Amino acid sequence: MECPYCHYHEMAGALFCRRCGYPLWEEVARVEGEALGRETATRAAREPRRTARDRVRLRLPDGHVIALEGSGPWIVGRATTNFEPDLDAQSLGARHVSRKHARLEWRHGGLYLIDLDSTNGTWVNGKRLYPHEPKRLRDGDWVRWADLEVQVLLPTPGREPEATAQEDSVS
Amino acid sequence: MARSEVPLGSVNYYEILGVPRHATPEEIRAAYREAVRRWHPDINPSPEAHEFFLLVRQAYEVLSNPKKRQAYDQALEQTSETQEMGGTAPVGAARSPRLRVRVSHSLVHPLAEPQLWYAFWIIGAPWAPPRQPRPLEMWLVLDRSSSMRHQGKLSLLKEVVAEVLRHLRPTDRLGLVAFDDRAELLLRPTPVRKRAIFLHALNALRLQGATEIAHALRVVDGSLGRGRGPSVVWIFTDGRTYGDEATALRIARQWARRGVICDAFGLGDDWNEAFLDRLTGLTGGATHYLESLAAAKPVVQDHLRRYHYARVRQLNVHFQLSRGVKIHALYRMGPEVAHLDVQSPVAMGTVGPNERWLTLAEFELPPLHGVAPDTRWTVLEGHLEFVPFRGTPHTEPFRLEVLVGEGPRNAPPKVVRHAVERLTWYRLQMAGREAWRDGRVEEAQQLLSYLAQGLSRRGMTRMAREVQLKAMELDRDQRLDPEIEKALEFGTRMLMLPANVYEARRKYTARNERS
Repeated sequence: MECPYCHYHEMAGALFCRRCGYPLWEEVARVEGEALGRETATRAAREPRRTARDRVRLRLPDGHVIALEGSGPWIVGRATTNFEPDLDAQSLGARHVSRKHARLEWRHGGLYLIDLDSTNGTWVNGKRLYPHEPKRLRDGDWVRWADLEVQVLLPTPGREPEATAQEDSVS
Repeated sequence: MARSEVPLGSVNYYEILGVPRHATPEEIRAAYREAVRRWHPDINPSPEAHEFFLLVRQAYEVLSNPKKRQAYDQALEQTSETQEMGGTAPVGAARSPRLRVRVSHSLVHPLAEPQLWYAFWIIGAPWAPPRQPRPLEMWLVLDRSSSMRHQGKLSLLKEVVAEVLRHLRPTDRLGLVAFDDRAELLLRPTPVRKRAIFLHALNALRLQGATEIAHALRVVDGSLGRGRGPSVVWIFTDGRTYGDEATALRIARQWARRGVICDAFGLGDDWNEAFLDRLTGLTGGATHYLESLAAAKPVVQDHLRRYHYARVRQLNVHFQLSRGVKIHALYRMGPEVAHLDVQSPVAMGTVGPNERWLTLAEFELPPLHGVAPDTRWTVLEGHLEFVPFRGTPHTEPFRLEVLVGEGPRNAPPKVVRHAVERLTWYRLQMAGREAWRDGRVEEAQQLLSYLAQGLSRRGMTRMAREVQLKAMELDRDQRLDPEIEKALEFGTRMLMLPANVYEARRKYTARNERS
């Protein structure tokens, strides 16, 4: 295989040209992808990301539902003069959360909760998490950060349109 | 189904129970009972075991019912066809739910010439991290050769050791050895409760002589115990050891067998990274460049958290390559980056909470034109050996196969592309430096600017600019500062880390350098 950029003769199967770093696999994928009768498999050709990611919601003890903005990761904690968490638990009535208490993030298509070695701990459905050990959250799980307990509301997985039909309490 | 489960990937119900596709109902029942004995939450309290147990039950529910099993078999037939095209690794006899393999192409063409082929392993530990930190036995092996005097290396060393002390727990034990061309035991492993004595010993360090590492390792070896927790040896050096490399490597091999992990930290611009890489790689450890205290802190913290909450004492990967297969490069890309010796068994060190072992291998497959079409061709076989802190090791077999045949293929999976691209950058940088040292300045310049282009293609503009500047400097005064060489090597090496770890360390360093 000859590199189209620097004309180095690279071995078959190489993904990048060792001489100039050119992504040879893109060429191969284009040729073989066309043979497969599909769009090119490069990222640009793929569909945009699911927007369902943007909608993680938390139900507070008083029944109110708040939505987290953006696609994460979100730090849950307590605001100080030089630190502002993505979710300020103090403003929701918590008094014993740590400054950086926990982190919520999307990974491999699931929402994960990671306790950041907080003083008063993080619980999911009554079980305390190990510090720094990610725990996958499911729709309806109860999460407790120190003295603040919330219920996690996740978009139903899958691309079916019914997922949006189920939305009832968008805040 | 299990597609969304992180550690399980594309493992199917048969693989979960560890039975062949044609297993009889009795065999399935027996395998289920065996799995329950191992994974029931009452027996195995780790959260991963619980998740896996649910899958075991799910698998049994389907496979024990003839109707459901038939339907599942049909579905499996279809998905395995599509997966074949999708680059999911065909892991034969995958009784290992902890191993996920992604390969550049699961279908390879029967060429008359050799071809490159890549596999990326993601290996999870079988046990959860401990609730309480494990007691460490740690040794710091400190270079006190006279060259430590320059460039503020000694004061940086002291600051880093103070940082280590800050993150050790009272239950840990720490030993100190200083070496020049001789070695001196400063302190036997002593509980870290009394920090002052360590700082005192450190301040009493007198600089003299040259660098010879093997003596120091022998001194450590003489009083190294096998504690209830990890045994870790950290070497800090600024020089090159001459003549005693073979001895040092022999000690490292013995340590690997005993589960002792050795990491190294290089100071300044004149230490021998190839040798230290080899030494630490043999034990499952890693080598780092101590550029500044701000850069060292996140590395020290990550390591100590990993060792305190270690999930295994050591992972050894035993393997055997099929005839004609070569491994050109074997890199551990997580939890720390290391260039590994291609010699079975490979010691992989340990992982902490939230960590997995990541490994990239570049294979050269022999000419496959004689192979019958649609053959499943075995590339390598072996087993994972997880060594616990107590008790007998837990082993899991694995096999890596490719489907040989004609036809178009999908693009390689992203995780493989990402890893191979980083490896390519690392090699470009190595080739560039080598060309420069051989006096091929123009070629060195070309290679470095290719590297800069690659970096900027992926949005790493800051690093790309730095590399481009270096390339231009080469042209002007025809010399490359050795310190810049080290920065280049370890800068590109760090890119091989998992993206979240890389980002976290980079941000930490940037924040602390500013203040």
